[in-house]
Parts: sequence; C-alpha cells; structure tokens
Amino acid sequence: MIARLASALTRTLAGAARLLPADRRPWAEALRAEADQIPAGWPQLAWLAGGFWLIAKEGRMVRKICYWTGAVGIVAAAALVVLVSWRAGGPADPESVTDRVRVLVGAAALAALPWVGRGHGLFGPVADNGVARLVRIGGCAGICAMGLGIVRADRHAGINGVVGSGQFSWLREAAGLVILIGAFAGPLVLKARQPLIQPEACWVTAMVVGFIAFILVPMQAFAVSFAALVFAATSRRSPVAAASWTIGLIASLPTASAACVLPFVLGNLFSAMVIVALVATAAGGCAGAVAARLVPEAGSPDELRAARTRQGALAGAIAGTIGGLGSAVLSPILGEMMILGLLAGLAGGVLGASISAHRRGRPTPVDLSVLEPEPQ
Amino acid sequence: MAPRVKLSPQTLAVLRALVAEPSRWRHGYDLARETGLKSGSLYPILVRLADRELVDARWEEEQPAGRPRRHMYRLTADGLGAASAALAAQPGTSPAPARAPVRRLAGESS
Repeated sequence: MIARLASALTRTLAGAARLLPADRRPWAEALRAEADQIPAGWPQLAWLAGGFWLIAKEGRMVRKICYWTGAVGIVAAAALVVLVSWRAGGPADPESVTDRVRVLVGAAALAALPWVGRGHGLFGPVADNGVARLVRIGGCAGICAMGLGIVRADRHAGINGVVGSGQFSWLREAAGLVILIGAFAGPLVLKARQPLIQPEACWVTAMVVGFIAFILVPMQAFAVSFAALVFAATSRRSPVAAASWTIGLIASLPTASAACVLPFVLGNLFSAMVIVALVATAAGGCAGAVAARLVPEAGSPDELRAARTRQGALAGAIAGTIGGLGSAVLSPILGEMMILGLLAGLAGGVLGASISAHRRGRPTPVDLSVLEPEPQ
Repeated sequence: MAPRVKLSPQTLAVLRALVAEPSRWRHGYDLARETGLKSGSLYPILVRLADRELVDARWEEEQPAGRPRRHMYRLTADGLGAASAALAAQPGTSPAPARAPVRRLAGESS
C-alpha cells in the first residue's frame, strides 16, 4: 500500500515539477532521484511530500493561486455588473441603455487588452512581483466597482428626461468606440508603417485621438484608458520597480482617505478637490523622494539621476492614482479624483524625486528582497 | 563582500555540514540525515545558497546501476568563506575546521 502510494507520489512529483520555472526543475528532479535512496515506508513518503513543498515554494504557487483566484473573481464581478446593468432599467430609459454600453465596453476592455497586447507584452503578462499582481487585481476590481456604481446611480435617471444623458445615440456610441479603438491601434499602425518614427509622435497621436473619443464617449474612454493604464503599469514591460510599487501603494493611503472623506465632510466638492490635490502632491512627493533613493547605484551619475527621477515620478503617480481610485469606487461622481490624484501625485513625485536625486551624499542602499526561505 | 543576510538555524546547520568537509561532494539525503532537516526545508535552502553562488551543484557524472543519478553539493570558495564567517559569528560556536584548502575548491572534481 505504502509502496504504491510512494510510486504514485513519485509520478505526481515528476508531473508537478513541470510547473516550476526551467531553472528550478533540476532541483525537484534531484529530490525525486534522491527518494530512491530513502528507506521505504513513511520516511520515503515524507521525503516525497517535501518535494511538493519545494515545488509550491519555488514555483510561487501560493502567489499564482491567489492571483488566478482574483482573476476569476474579476470575471465574476464583470459578469455581475453586466447582469445588473441589464436589470437596472428598461429599453425606454436612455440612461440605462447608455450604461449597458458603458459596462460592456469596460468589461470588453478588461478581457481584450491583455489578449491584444500579449504579443508585445504591453498589457500582460503580469510582472513578477506581488504588489503588481495585487494592484492589477485591485485596479480591475475598482473598474468593476465603478461600473456598478454608475449603473446604480443612473437607475431610472433618464426616465421622463429629467436627469441623465438624454437620448441614446447609436451613431455617437459607434463613432466614439471606433475613434477609441483608433487611439489604441493608431500608434501600432504608425509604428508598423514607419518603423523609424519617434515614440513621442505615436503617443501624441494616441492622445489627440483619445481626447476626441473622450469628448464623444467620456465614460467609455475613461474606463478603457484606466484599464489600459492598470495593465500596462503592472505588465512585465512596465518600468515601475517593485520598490516603487510598494512605496506608491503605502503613500496612496493619505490621498485615498482624504478623497473618500473630505467631499462628504466639507460638503463642497471644489474645496475637497483642492485639499485632495494638496494631499496627493505631498504624498506623491514623499513617495517620489523615497522611491528615488531606493534605486540602486548603477551607470553614470546622469543615468542614475534620470533613473531616480523616473522611479520617483512613477511612485508619485501610483500614490495619487490609487488614492483617487478609492474615492471613485466610493462614488462615481468622484471619478475625477482619479485624474486629479494622478496629476497631483505625478507632480509631487517628480518634485520629490528631483530633490532626492540631486541631493548630495551617499544614498542609503535598502535591500527589500527576502532571500532566506522559511523552514518547512 | 558577502551580502549581509540573517541566516536561519536551518541554513546554518546546512552550512555547518558542508563546511566540515568542503571538498567532498554531498548528496541531499546525506545532508538531510546530518542536519535532521526534512527535504522540504533542505532543498529550498540549497536552492538559495546555489543562487547566491555559495554552493556548487552538479549531477553525478556516471550513471550508477539500479538507481538514478544523484545531485551533489559542496561549498564554493566564496561559500566556504561566507559559511566560516557566519558560523564564527554564532554565539557559543566555532566553525568546523576546513579539511581541505580553499584553493582546491576551484575546478576540483571529487
């Protein structure tokens, strides 16, 4: 009985070893080869069981399982939002029909962007660090929550034409979507036709076309842009370092708290936005300064300064965007807090990073990696 | 300079076993018996040590009769220095004397 179990475990271990990255597979193979030397019975079973622990640890299975559980949760959440949008109102309500299109476009962006960008790695796969995975799942969940908030807020809003966007227009929706797709496809087409074109020209083209789409279909353009931002920032090609993610995430807490509380406490959206912008700038500045100092010394002083400024700006932008997202999830009318948070955090991050990068003195090296494995 | 990393008692036990006979290639079960560690603890430690180039790993060169080839481990020259330093830093312990000179570790086969 035990011999059969050991044999089954050995075969399973060989199969499970394929889940490991190529450079880790020999270790699982080594453990399996050693099992033949272990006295038969429970010691051999215990040895083989340790192999599964090795695979779980080296294959980062817990992280992968959490990530894919989160991804399945996002799919379920998106399906729920689509369902709610369909049940929220009838076809006579133009706002409900508009929301259905908004929700469908947002859900399509979540599904399509990683698939569309898979060849270039622009929108996926996800970067190999836990914070990027957390931010990707959290950002997608935030988009779903915003969709749900919009649908609930707009329920019956357009009936009798009292409140809402007025008549639903297929022409405007279709034209807006075509232009929106053009904003994403344009740079790729330009790059394919003219390989020597400057990247800045591609970005400017995309932004101009995207702005036209934003005027026609603002919510759809916002949802797709935000989804693209989340996927691009958390992809393996993303320039954001793991340390900048962590700093940005921590620094987002004051902005998120201010953005969630102030509009309701002050009762004045404009005053709240001004204060939130100041908080986001200050938090982004701190995040930028710290993230800049965490960039390891490499290359010439100019290259190092540029790398530090870049990471600081990214950390500030992350802090501001995530901070603004908190309020946008809370209430759709606070959606502009995301843009405000992004801009304020970016400005603060650039400022903090510039001060930090130009400061004389020896930078403090900080090693955030954990090398020591936990005992079984 | 070896990176400053806090080593667990399990890692120190593996280093102690390896530093005792630095020129000898050891296999996993041998180390597990000597340190009392389970395979699930021992191998992640060996992986980390190999990643940091403190441990050399290789497969047995010849195919033995009746059993698969084994994976063998021993300290690198850097590993011997780092292990000796880490063990010497432990309160109340002294590093085991190396039975082979460090220079023999470079390019030597057992």
